[in-house]
Amino acid sequence: MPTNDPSMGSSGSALPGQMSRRRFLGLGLASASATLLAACQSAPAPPVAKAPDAPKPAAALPPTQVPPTPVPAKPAAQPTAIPAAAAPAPTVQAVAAKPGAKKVYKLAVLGDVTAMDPATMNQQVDFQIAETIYNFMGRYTYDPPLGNALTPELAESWEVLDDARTWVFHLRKGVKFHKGYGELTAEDVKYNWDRIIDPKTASPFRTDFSGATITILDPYTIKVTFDRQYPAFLSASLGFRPGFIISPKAHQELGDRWKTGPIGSGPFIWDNYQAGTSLSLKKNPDYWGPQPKIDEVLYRFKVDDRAAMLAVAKGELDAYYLSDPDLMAQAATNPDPNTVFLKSNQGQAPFVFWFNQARKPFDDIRVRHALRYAIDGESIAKDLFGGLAQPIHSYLPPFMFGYSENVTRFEYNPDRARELLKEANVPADWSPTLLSYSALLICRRITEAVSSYWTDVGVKVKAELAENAIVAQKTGPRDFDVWGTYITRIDPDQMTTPYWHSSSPSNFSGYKGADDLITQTRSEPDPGKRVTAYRDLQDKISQDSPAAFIVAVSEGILVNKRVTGLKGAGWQERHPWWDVDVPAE
Amino acid sequence: MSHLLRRLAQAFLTVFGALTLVFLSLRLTPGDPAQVMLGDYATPELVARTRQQFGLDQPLPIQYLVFWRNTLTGDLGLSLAKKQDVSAIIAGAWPYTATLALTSMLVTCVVGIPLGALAALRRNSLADFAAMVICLLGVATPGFLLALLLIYVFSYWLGLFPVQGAGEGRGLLTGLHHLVLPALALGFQSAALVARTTRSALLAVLSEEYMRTARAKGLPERIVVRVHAFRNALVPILAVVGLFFGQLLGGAAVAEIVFGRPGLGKLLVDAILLRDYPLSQALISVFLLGVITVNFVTDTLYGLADPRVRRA
Repeated sequence: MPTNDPSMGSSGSALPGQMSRRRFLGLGLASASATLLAACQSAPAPPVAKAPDAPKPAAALPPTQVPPTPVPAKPAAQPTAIPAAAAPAPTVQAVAAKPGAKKVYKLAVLGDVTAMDPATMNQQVDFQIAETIYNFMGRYTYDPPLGNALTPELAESWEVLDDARTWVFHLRKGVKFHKGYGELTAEDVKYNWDRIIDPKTASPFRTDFSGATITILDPYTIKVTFDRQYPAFLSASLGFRPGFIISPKAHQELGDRWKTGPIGSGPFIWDNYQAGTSLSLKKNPDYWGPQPKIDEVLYRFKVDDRAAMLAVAKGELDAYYLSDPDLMAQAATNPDPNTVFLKSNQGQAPFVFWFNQARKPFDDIRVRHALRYAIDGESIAKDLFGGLAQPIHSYLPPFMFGYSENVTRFEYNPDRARELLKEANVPADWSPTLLSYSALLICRRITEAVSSYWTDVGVKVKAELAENAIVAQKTGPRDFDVWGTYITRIDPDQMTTPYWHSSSPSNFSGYKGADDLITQTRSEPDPGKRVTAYRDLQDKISQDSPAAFIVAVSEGILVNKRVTGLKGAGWQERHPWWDVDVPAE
Repeated sequence: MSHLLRRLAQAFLTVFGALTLVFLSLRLTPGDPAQVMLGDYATPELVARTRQQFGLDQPLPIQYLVFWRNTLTGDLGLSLAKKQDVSAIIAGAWPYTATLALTSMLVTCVVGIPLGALAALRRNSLADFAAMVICLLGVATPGFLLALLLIYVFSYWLGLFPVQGAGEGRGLLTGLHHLVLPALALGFQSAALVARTTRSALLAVLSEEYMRTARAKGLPERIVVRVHAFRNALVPILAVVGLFFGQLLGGAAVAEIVFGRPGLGKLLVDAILLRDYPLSQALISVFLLGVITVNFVTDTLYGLADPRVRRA
């Protein structure tokens, strides 16, 4: 009997007397059978060996710093001990674990995995999971939101030659891909990077390898030569998505169905994925490096904010990254006794309103200045985000290399805004549209606040909050007046060239005023001089105001107190995977 | 037999028309899957290449023919967003939605029909008043709010039920334990409406002349109500229950999201927002087939409940 026969649902509702009882029983049996079927969808995980306490990767090069000589291999010098958690140490740690008990860290996130192919992935949740199952060539240290040091991982050391035109990477020996897919060598790195370069892959990271030639020097040494100086290559690529190395053999076998079982060399192995609901990752017993303390990671996707908060309080979930600023404020000020709220030390993603300079009167700098004077970023950060955001005056987030406080500022001054609008002879019936995303409360809130500020100075702005697909359709051909969004990247060049260089298709405001300075930031090999170049560039962009820079919102994670090892909300929801610990159960 | 064949032919035509509508409505909805997939990395070149990769650059008639070829050969394709076989995604999720819908239907019937019958048989009494207040509350409370309230009271405060998940892979009892609150949340609203329908239908039948005849024959009240009144009131109740099954499938999305359960409803919301055409088409088709099947079965049951329908 098919357990999902819809007729059972109807027939069970109907008849009185003896028929009713039979049908009632039939319906009950159908439900029970279907539940049994559902309950058996995924088999219980076998126990995994308990992990020993292990050393952690050593700190090494600061981002963008170029080492003059190879960094020596340090296989034994692993741990820079990260203190266990801001959360109070749980007493349950002392309780002896049952035989066969496992340490399962249950983490909920708002999104779902979309692509696990490093060449094409662009979602935050993909990145977060990828850093557990893949190794980076070099990994950024965890110091929420983002550590400022790139530690050797698959690349044990690297050399820079020819004024940052040539990079030579010395690979770690003995790194094994999961499930018997062999040892990782220079051939594998070349395969991964050649795929990014290949136009057929349509990789968003192709520009990071623009003008690059990749050569294998020996099985554990690989050289990347650029046709230009490119000092940002290390920080932009090694510890970001292009820095993940997957198994070419597995990739050729799985092709488009890569997500059915991605193979990397990281500390966890992809185990069981239920689309839109959950993913389990098992500890890699053959991992070349330090073993994590937990045996398994169980992701829950597409959860409801409020239900997830209650689940963390009840211990059904260990942690949840909050996206709703109201709930973040609630968790920060009035947490459940079983939970602790951790946030990033600084705002991560700058929220920007791009002015479309191809449309009048945004081509008039007085209008752009007026609109910036009209916004009170301090008040937005304080009143709308309860202090979980910081006002910004630049397009770079405060944690990022090259960020500068010394830029031209447009402090809140509505009178000056009105004067400038009058000087620019802005028509009284001018009614620009302010486009942003409807699904994200952060976007809705900032858009509504900015609309209100602009209305106060006499601009009859219309807020257009739309779903992602509609917004994408308008921003691609620049069919908007003002567009509000936030962007997260790891290196300043990734937030500069694509968005402000005149030749870039993603230059949403059509800005053309800083190409020389941008070129300087891209090609300067000296980190100190590069910082100076970024300071000048940020000031120039702020003066020209092709966009309004509002706030950088902190990330916040709600954690059950049984969890140790977390000390803040990491950039792009990163975790210190070697430190996270939960009691076995 | 001809009644059955006519119904089958109608069902096939409905499936054909509905799938065509599904195909067209998804293509005509603003928004490009390639743009959504690429997010803030989208450039015209990348968008063009991605569209080419997934055959989205083909003319609409070609895409339509490919859609029917794939549908008829059972090849549901690859999900654009999830990068997995659509058939595998659906196979993994449908038992959860089917379980939830059937259990919610059980709640609907077990709560709604007796409540409505009680209200009709005790007309204008306190029981009638209380039943109708419960119905109003059920109809007026949004599904997500009821779900959160149930979680707050029964999971967070009383600790009787889990907050999240479906107890995947942890046995039948755990699965049932996880099912109680979602089924109550989903079934309660339709139970309220079924109760109102039952009350009205039963009241209408109870005022008929043949009811007086039945009582005059000396039949016990129990038989009068069960055999003569209830059976005659059954057709409108069946119609409403059949309609609600479709709504339960749609409403499952809310319960699946709030209770963090796997399921087709949650997948469909996501697929539509991401403009994941293959997955959206397949999921809507599954829902459609479910609703058509239930309506077909309901129509057949009318005949069992009331022989005049068969003869018509």
